[in-house]
Amino acid sequence: MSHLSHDALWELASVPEPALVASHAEAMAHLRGCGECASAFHEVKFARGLIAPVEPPPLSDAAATRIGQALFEAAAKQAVARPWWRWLWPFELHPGFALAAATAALLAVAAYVGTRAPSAPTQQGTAPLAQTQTSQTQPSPNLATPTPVPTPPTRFASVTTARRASEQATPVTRAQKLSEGSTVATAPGGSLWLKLPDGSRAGLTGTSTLTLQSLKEDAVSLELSAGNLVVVAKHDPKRTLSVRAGELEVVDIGTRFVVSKELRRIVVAVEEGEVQVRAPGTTTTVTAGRAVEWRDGRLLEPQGWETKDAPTLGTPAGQPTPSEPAGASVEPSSPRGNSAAPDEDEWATPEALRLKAAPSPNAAEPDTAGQTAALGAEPSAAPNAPAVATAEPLAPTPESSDDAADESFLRKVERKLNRLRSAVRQGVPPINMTPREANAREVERLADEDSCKEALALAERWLKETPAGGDDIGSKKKVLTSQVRCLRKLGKETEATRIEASLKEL
Amino acid sequence: MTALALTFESMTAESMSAEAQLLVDPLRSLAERARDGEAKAFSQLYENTRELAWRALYRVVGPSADLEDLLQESYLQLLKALKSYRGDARTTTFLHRVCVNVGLMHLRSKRRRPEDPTDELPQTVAPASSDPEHQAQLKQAASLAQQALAALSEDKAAVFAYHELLGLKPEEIAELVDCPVNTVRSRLNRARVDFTAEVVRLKGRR
Repeated sequence: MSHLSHDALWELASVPEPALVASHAEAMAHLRGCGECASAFHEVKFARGLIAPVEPPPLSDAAATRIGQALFEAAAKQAVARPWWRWLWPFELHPGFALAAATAALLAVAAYVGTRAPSAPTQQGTAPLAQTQTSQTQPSPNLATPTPVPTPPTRFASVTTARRASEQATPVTRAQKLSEGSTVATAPGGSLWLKLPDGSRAGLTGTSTLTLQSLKEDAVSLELSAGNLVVVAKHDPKRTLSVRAGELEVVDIGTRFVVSKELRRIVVAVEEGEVQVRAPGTTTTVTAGRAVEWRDGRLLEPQGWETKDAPTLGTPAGQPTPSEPAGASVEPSSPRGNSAAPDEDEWATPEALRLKAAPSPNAAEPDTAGQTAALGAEPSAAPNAPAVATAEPLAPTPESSDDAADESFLRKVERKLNRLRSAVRQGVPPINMTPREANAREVERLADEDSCKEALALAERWLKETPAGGDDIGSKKKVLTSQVRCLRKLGKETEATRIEASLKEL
Repeated sequence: MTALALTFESMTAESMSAEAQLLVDPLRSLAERARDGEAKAFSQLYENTRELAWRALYRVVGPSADLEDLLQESYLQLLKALKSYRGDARTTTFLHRVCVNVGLMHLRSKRRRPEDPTDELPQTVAPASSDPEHQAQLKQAASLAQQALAALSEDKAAVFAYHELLGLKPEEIAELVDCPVNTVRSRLNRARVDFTAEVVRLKGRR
């Protein structure tokens, strides 16, 4: 008795009721009598069932718009980068036509050159020609040798680690030099570490795009178009290091910080040291353990970005942080003053993790870019910076990247950013907004992003907490309008109409 | 109607009039303009095809927090691939190829990396049904299917994805992968065998 082929079993498994189909009757009869085939059919049916079509959830409008915007920018950039001749001739040339045109051009040039060729010299003219030639071979003594113009040194950043990273669609490799003006990008799941000319390091993670605007030793400027950037910078008053992200400019004062840019929001979080964040109409200093979020033209301070050595949280942005020793667990032998094991020290850079294993004897020299030590030593450092004694240098060493440690560090950055985003989504009161106003805005934002169930739940809570005898009418209108929108999206027309009527009374 | 159908069949892509080409592939003009550097045309192409790409990616990688990123990545890859676009394949077929490649690459990279907690993001695509047990079963099934798909060789995984997940016919797949139809059929057969064996193996491990 010959068994059924795998193909036949697969076809049988694709039919909902094979017993009812006449063409499969023979196969079904065989299955009833053959245990081996029946068992194989059961396995095939299970496997086939795993890939049964499932209706995907819809792509949210917010995500679709965000992606569309990013793609438009990418396409526009590519259009700018077209070869120069494409602008002169944007049409697709037929190969034959192009070849004919090129040949005709060559012939024309050859003909032109041929008509201008000098005539052959006569016998009488030989001597003068020889004399002319002789005189021409001897250089004039009055001409000075032109001074060679020194070519400016090419400024570049070095790639220390790269995974799913590219520059102008070309994959980036380790030890590659990226020149000033390059744009690099990482794909989902990708990461990239760069060493900058001043010794600082920049790391990209996730779907990110970064342009190396300026790579002078005394002025490094980066532009983050999208995604997440981590900077580990040594403090050096002789140079500036700035990161531009949308409308924000983040200026390093000697620190370790993260900038994350999304379509509608930019987050700057500081792990160590401080940065100055310049936004339209406002400038603020962000110190270790704090983060700021730029959204809808306002600077907010989300809770949720914590460091072990951070000063007390809750201090509004822009106000000086209290000068207090950074944590009780300061120990001179560790870079962050924390004796936790590398796995628990979530924020140790790869270098710090390695140096913890092999501490350097020359720990306290300010030139070695011990970040927190340098902060304390420099007269221009912020007076309220936490005074942490460090015994080990944190300067990135030239060729000492550790791929696994880098990866681990960037994954931790991503996790912290995600937690911060969750905290932000729960409603963050901006600096000059009451919690009720902030929650009303959050209802509106959730409704905009089609998170209707969350929006309705928050709206219900907000309305229950409305004090009798009046409230902020503007916020109430926002909440009710968002409710109506969401109810309509969920098909609850009756309720939506009822709330709309009460909205008109306001 | 019959005469019209015969006329289309006898024409090559080059000899078809522009109007006829548009009837066969209405997105072709957008794709060509996008290839020539028109950013707006590319945006319009995205708007017209994003649902198709979203479904294709969902079929390949299942419910994943990375779907939106993968959708963006697919179109970025499409933007690069359009440079070599000559209009000889339908635009949607071209897009399918990009989406399947991006999806399969993602599955393979997930297979190489240990499970990352960042995959469990709050932004995970919201399930249609509200039954948590049903959702858990769907998720488990999707995970098993993805792992088995990631274990297939590149050739087999591509053919399997095109036919079983996207419903393309062997003739269309042959055009995509640039090999004879019989090769596609035999590759598909072997892919089914390997997929089933891998599912059984993974199921036995749980």
